[in-house]
Amino acid sequence: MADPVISGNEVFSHTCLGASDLAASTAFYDAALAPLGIKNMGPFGDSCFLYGKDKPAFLVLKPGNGEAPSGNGVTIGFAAATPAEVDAFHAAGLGAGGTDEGAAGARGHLPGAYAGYLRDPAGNKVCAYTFV
Amino acid sequence: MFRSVVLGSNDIEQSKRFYDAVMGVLGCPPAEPNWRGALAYRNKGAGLMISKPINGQPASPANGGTIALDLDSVEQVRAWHDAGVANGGTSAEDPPGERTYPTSKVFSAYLRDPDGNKLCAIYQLPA
Repeated sequence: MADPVISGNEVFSHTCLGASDLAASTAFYDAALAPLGIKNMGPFGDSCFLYGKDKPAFLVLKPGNGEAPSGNGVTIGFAAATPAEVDAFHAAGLGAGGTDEGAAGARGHLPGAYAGYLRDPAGNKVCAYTFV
Repeated sequence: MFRSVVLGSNDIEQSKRFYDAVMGVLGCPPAEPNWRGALAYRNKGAGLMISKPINGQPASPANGGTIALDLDSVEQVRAWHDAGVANGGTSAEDPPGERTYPTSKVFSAYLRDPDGNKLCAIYQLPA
């Protein structure tokens, strides 16, 4: 198989989330994802930005139908290497237009789980997750 | 890079039929609802979970949201798509086929799950 040019390097090739205001959403993801080693890799067309570690795997975009982002029940979980990375994700996101959806800390339903939850400026729910 | 993706369901039995079929194409065993009624499918180091929203409100798909899966062959992408259509999903975007992007060529297919969540399966074609 060819080395994928777009991939999250696990079962997920990529995920997309909608933005109402691309500048607001990218400011949020630039800050929140940096502690996880995920960076803004630049625009893809005029209504989408690519994020990834060494190749694009997360796309923040204006919905193609022109309507606002919406949805209930969807969460995108980013992998963190350590609880400190989860803490940094949560704090940085809160400081860059995100809202709290669950403080960084242990999650008792799974042994060793440690996670923090945020909503991005468009209202999408995201988390950083690790196991200790 | 991703640890997990959770998608909302309004009918776990209906979701189980769909996701057992499409994730079965990737080799995932059928999922049994866990302690809070959610389905979990693990593959290649990450998990896809299907759950009723924990806020008690109806599930709805994310507008602008797509979850794309890395598959291993053109045949697997076709089988994934057809398994979804046969189990409560609907084909979305263009039919399964080759798509060319500035830096790559892929064989991909799109589905909406029974709750309208948009999914994609991708096989990276050799350059």
